[in-house]
Amino acid sequence: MPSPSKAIRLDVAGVVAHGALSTVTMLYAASTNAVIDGVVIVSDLETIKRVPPNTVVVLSTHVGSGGWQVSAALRHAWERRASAVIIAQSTYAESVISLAERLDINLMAAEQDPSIIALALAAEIGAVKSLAEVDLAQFARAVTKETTVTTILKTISIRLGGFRLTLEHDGIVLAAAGPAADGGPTVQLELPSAANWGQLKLSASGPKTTELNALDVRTYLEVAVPSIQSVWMAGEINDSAASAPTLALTDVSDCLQVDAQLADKARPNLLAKLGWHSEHSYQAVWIAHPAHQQHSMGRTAILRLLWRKVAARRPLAEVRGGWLSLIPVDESEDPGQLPSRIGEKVSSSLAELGFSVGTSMRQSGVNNLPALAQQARVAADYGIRIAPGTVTSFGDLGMGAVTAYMDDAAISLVAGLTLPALMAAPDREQIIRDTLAFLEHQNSMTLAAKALNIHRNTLQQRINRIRDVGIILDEPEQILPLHLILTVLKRTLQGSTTEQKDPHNGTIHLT
Amino acid sequence: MRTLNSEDVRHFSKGANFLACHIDPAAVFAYEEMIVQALPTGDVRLINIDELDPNDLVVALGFVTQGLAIADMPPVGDEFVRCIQAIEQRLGRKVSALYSLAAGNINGILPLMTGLQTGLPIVDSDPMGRVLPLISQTTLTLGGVRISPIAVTGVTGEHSTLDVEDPQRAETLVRSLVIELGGWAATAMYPCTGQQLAEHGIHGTMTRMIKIGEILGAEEPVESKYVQLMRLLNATRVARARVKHMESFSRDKALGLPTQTTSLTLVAEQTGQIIRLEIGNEILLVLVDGAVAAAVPDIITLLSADLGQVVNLDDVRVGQLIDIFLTPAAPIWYTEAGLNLAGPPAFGLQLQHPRCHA
Amino acid sequence: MRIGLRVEDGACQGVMMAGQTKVAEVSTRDAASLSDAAEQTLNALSTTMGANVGEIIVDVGRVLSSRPLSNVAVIRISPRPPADVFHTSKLPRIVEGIATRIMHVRGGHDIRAHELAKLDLATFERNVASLVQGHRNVAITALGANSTDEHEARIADAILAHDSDVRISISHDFFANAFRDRDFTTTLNSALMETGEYLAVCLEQLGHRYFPGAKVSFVKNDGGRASISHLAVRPVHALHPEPASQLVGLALLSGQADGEIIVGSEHSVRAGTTRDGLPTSTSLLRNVYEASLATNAAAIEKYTAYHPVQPLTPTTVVDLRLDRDGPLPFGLEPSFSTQDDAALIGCATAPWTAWIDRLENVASKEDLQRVQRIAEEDAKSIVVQSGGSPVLTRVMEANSYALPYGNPGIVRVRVQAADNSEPGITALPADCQQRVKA
Repeated sequence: MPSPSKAIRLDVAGVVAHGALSTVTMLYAASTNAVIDGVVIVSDLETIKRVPPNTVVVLSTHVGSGGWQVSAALRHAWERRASAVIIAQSTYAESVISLAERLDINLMAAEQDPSIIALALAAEIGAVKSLAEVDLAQFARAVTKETTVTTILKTISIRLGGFRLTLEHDGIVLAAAGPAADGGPTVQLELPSAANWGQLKLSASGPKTTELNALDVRTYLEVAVPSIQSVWMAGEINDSAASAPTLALTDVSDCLQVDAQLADKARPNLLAKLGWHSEHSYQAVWIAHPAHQQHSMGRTAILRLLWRKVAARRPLAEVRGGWLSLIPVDESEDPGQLPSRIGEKVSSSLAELGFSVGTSMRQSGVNNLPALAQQARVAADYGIRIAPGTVTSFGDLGMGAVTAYMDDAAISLVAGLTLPALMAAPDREQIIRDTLAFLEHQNSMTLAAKALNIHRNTLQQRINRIRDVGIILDEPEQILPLHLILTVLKRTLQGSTTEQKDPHNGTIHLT
Repeated sequence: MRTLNSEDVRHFSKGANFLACHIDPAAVFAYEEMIVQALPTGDVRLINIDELDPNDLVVALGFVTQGLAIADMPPVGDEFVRCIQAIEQRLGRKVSALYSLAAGNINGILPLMTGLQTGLPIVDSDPMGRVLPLISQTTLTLGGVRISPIAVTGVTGEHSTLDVEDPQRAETLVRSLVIELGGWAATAMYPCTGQQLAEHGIHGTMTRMIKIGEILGAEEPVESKYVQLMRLLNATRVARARVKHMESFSRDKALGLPTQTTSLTLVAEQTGQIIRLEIGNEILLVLVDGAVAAAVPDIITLLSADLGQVVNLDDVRVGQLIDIFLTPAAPIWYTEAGLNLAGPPAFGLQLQHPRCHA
Repeated sequence: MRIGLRVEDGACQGVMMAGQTKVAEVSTRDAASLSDAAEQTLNALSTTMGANVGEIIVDVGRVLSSRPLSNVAVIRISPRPPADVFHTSKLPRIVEGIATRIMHVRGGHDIRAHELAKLDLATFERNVASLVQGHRNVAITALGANSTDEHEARIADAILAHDSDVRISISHDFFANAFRDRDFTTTLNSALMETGEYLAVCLEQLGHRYFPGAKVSFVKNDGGRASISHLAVRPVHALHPEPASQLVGLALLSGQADGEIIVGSEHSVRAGTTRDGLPTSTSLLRNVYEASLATNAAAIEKYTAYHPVQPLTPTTVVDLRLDRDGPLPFGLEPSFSTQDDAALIGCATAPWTAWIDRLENVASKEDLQRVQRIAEEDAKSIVVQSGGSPVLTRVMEANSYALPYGNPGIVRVRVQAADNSEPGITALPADCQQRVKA
């Protein structure tokens, strides 16, 4: 059976140079040349959320005439790994160009009606692909050989000649394959309900040009269902077992003290036993769900399936307040690569669930694993508050994380993560008092000294001490978070000195 | 009960501006001045909802405008008093206290003047908890409290009392009347009992404006003010960002007519995120890198990074460094019914609110 | 050649420009009067090379600001009078005392120019004698005057029918959304008219005596100029021209006609921008909590540490301090400095400008384009009528706005046109350049 050959796949540079897109204006050209598997004209944002990867998204004139919808469309298209977005020629495109540049996605403007461009492109794609006759038995053998849901769907899609295959749960696409549906026949099949993960739906949408009828398609799907179920069950069991070390780690992480006594000496051994390696560098990923959502086992199964798109071999542990995974990373890799990979692969699905992802900084060795987990958790929680469905990196956020929080406990935790030297300093109370005085008097040494009732020179020495413990006073952007943190620390320290709290009460939880 | 002094009134107007930075505050400051001038002639009394008898008659006061700023055609001064009289006449009983139709901008502050003129106390509650553009967008509507009778008085002194069941229909009728009355009208509506307001209103919102004004007006560093604002309002700072681009054109209007600024694009100082504010009379949306970070009914306030002062939309300029604050609206606005009435779909935006995962 | 003249009571500074080159400068102090000082200055300049002077442009801002204001009778037209003193439109302190009579007349329109109340002309005509008695200056402000001048004009006609010598200022001539801003501007304009009238007559006579062929004009708050006869009618536009002239002068001296100019002086650092050598303008001069003045004036603001950064705009930092030992604040590095009186040079080189600022009722996109085009034509024709070049007069700014919650059919159309011909048509040979002291 002939299948679409990779050698003659279209790419953006090609069609722009001498193809259907030769008349468009390139507003932003992405740094890598994207391939094109399909084209879709959209008139509402929801449609973009469902396009398959490598699709050229053409916004109809109504959506494309500038405005926020173009920004949102770019975002969705980027999440879906679309090849390019084409909008109507508009004099107001300046602000969306910056966004295209930031997301590094091809953005083009069409002078003529965008739908004409889309049709021309569709014709070009159609010429490359061809439909084929299918042999059912051969097909059944092919799917049983596959070991992941996605590859099974891919196999079905290819055999059906370019059908769009999706496995959905409550409207969320867990796995998909094939080009965008273009109004051809759609066949849906409910999977027999297994365990407690709710209703799953397998659907196949064909191209208009398909010669297959609905009955044929259904037959192929029914043949494939048992393979899908068994592959998934196997994956879920493996994942639960594999996440045990990560789960153990969150026990450790929950004991994290405010004063940054990160781990006692016994823990590295414990951690090593659990499969963590001191020679590796790790980055933590935390997926948080909104506080008001009920917890359910089903979601973990769904999430694990989604997670495989990001890191198939790193298990996702279900922990209190969310899910955690620790990912060994290569020292040479840019720490920003992980968050952007997550964003690309799963953020649109997570956004539909209302989840947010946080990533920690990268650190080598296992001593800091609990702190990494907390960093990721803080970043994820920040995302929940500021922009659900986004991926937030703690490294980018730093102290800025506190601007999203109101509760003292969370702010203290960020303090522990971002100002470890201060938290460990024996004279931290004085440092906090001095810094606050300095900030409250608009950085005036004289006024602050007066307020503290000390000599200006004494304060100058203390300012040096403030800098020693890592407090930066001359970055305007840091002042608000710093102010928030110190105000809270001052209060908690006052509280703890007067009440002499049980040290266990100092444990901080973000939930 | 609390009797307001001139400092309180000045703080009140600052807070009223903070909660509605999308509207030109000229009329708010004009009212502030007027009330301060008139204070020696009477008292502005602010009472808690629980100080009312459950059966007391209370009524909401507010301007309804259509195409005209209040400052363009200043009120004569007796319009609201006439509205209250009309309500009393229609219902055959005395009004015991007044409340603001909205907790912000002109409709936040004006009942203080009427309270001073009539001697009636002002309830520390309102039915919006922010400023919303339609008279039907209230928590009283959500609670099934009748909007009418509605008393309407124009600058000409012409007046009318409307009996209408459906709040949306009331909106249509009042608007068309307002056009012919000159462009704005004084209105008294949602006459209800103290108990109804207690059950379905949003409380403490007048005091909140005073507190915001106190914080903004204090001689303190910007960051200290922010810390206090965030604690008071449960607010978050979405970003400190520089204005990169402004657009002033209309898209979805059939005429394609110009309008005020329709969107602002900013670049966050620290993260480089591209932030887009979508404006259609209100600040409707905040997109961070294309993802929806806030949407109506979230309250968005722009503050100048250097002074921590409210930046009104009319005064935003390219290159300016701005702190974008998000204050959540009252929780009831995030329920399904609340979002239907005052969430993105009510403003023609087909999207799910970021804080709703129904 | 052109002369720029800054007149004051008892003093006068003059500069003569040939194209963009300063050829003479004269300063007169301690004269007996304004006209003496102006006369001495013009005389000194005329001895240099008077025959070539085609334009005399006068800055009268300092005279208008320092002379006492005339008393004004203020007439406010609206459907009903204010119910109490608190709802009465409050004039800013500088004109509060000179509004010695305030009266209400029934009338007024809405923003669509529909009549809200019939004008009570009969009562007004019965009382006009006592109303204007003792007042030579009248200010009339009506509700809805942004959209129509009908009621204001009828009241003005009634006054003039009674006494044709009364100076009348109507608020329809000044665009501002707020009633109190129009009320203030009209009142202040009216209070300045007497001085404006005197200056117009005196300066035109003096100009013609020493430079018979020269056209006399005055510099406006937007940095452009208008015919001296307008000074008698709209003196308020000549009240604060110096900040704008300074930008015009600095743009010329620094050779940067487009971009931002940051000016450091002894007292402050301020910034403004110019396009084609003309400052960008605002239509309101704000005064914190008091009413704003509705005049088109250069948009200038205090420079702060958070000053907007516009990477694509070229910036000139000018150090105008006399003592330049220390650095400028905010780490500003001067890119240009001058000892010249930039504002006076700006005055001498001011181009003709004109503004159209009005409400229009439009029903379609085509309608909007039509009213915009008409506004642009109107603005250009005013410039050309004043003496601007029909070929080189062009539109500097053209905007249309609607208000939030605004009536969708009503737009504000705002256009500025300016004569773009080079200042000073006759260039001088270099050996004629000299300095003259009076």
